[in-house]
Amino acid sequence: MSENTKKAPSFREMLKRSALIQNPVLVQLVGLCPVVPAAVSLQSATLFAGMYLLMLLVTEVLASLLLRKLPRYIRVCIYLVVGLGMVLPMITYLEQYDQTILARIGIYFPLLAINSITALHCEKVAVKSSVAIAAKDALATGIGYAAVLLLVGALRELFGNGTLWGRAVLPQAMPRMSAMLLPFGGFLMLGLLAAVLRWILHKKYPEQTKQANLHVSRTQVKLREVPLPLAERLEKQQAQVAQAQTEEAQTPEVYDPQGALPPEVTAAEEAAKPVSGPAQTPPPEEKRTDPLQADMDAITQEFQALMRELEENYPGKDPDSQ
Amino acid sequence: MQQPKATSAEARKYAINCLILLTMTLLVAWFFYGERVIRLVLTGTLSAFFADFLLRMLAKKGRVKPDLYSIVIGATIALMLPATAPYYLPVLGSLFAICVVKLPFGGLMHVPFVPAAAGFSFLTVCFPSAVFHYPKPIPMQGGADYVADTALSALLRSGRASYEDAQTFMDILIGHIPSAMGTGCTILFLAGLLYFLFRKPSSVIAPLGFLLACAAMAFFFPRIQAERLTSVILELAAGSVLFAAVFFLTDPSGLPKTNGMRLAFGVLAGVLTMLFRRYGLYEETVCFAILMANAAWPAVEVVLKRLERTIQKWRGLPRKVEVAVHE
Repeated sequence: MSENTKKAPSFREMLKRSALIQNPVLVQLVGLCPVVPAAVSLQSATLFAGMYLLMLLVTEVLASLLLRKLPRYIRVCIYLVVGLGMVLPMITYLEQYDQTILARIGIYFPLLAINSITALHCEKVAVKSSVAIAAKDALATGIGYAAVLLLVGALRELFGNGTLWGRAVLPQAMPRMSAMLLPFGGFLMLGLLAAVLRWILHKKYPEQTKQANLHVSRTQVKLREVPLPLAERLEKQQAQVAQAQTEEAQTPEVYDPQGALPPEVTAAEEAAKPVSGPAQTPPPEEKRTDPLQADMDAITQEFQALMRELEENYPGKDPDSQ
Repeated sequence: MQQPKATSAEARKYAINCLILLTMTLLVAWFFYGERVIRLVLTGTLSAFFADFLLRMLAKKGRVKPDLYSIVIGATIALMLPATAPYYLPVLGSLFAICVVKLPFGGLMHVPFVPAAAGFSFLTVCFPSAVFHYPKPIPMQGGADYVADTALSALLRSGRASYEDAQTFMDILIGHIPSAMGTGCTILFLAGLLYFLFRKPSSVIAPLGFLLACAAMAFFFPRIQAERLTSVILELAAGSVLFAAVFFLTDPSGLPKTNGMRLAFGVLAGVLTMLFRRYGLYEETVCFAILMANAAWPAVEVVLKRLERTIQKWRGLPRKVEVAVHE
């Protein structure tokens, strides 16, 4: 299927991906700044959520329309200017009409202008896609971010103060956890929500969340006395393996907004496919960069050879068993 | 790369040793603060045990063995609270320790932090007024209702070295002063350290380093206008220093593997404890110091290992190299 005939993802698909599967706060762990210290009540969370949704939409649309040809370092500065251009009038309005909420949101409101989600999505999506897709992405991501802000703000106000939107909800006899209003409580709340979201995603979308799974390998560590030269070689190999693993982890993921979700094939389309000749093989998966893979394989083989040499020549006792 | 910090047999042995000592502590606490102690400790213990059991059963979707260590966590958190603590405090502390610190990291053999210390720290931050509301011991006040008084840790924080009731050193050592339920009896914890010394000598190295560091800081930088030896005795007897030395720093899951590193870890925890006491916000800060030592230890260990390698290289000795074998 050629690029031109690829179907643009619908808003529903983009919402599912950006707001749920790749939620910016709970899955990608970006944009934590307003959520952790500032979302301590439903009111402040609503203000942050509304402001940021609007800011992201305007910035992505602008980036898609006008900023494609500019170099990256200039584009990032323009995102900041656009953000400030929207935040500062709001601060001026709050200074005149609602000083209480301004005192509560403090320095974190102007910091919305440099939220990392803006630069991330503008660079990954907006400047590479049409205005319609940029707008959909901004709305989908903004809704995901806003949902987290509102949920965290509501829960922290409820458990920390016993109120919602300033009105008492919990009975006086119930204990109030004042730590919920501190950044400590914000991190705790985010961690719990991230765990709940991950559990939901594992149940509903297991294929899409498979890549995000971390495999924890259990290792047994034994101490053996070995001569200096062999010890140095072993440590050098271990350092090379660790460096190769770090480089592999830092290999940037190729983001394809149009290829995010596999298109749904209906039974009619499946039946209408002509059956002729051998079945077409699916396109090969993206492989790792060849030199890196070759390096890792060579290092792993040498390390295993050293391990065998160690086992044969220096069978050591486990000091913990003494 | 995560590695098991203790075998299940070691963990079970440690839990049994702790339960024996906690039973002694509970009896002393019952003597000083009445039967409310039993109810609070039971509440904390049962909350921790059932939370651990049910969550592990849900995660594994089948039958699991009961874990004695969860009982240790619940009892430890409850005994660090005052006798006037409301019943929800040990419940919340135990739930935090099990659900946020112990289980998400894979259970006892893999936790990077001491769960009971984390649970108590959570309660301190969330409910400071309830956690530091210490009553006088019942034999001291002569009545059934609890009467609030100042703990020794608060006295030292304010620079005073003695109570208005002129308690003797013996009163302070046996726990006849306002304190948390299970942390007042200094003699009991010294006996506990001796018990661990006979049962497993290597488990006492970290507490030894911890107490030496606390004593040295109290000797050279006293907070009170008194003799230096008095400062050392009072600082070690105040708060939960000895309680933490016996129940947190003997925990095999939270300790490094070698004896030298265990001593260094204990010293780090001791220095942090005394710094927190001098500059921290709360009167009881041992748990925060131990958590910080747990967090900082991997970085400190790297530096110490490099130093150790340099010394061994200089002396031309065969070096011990940690070789990781994947299971």
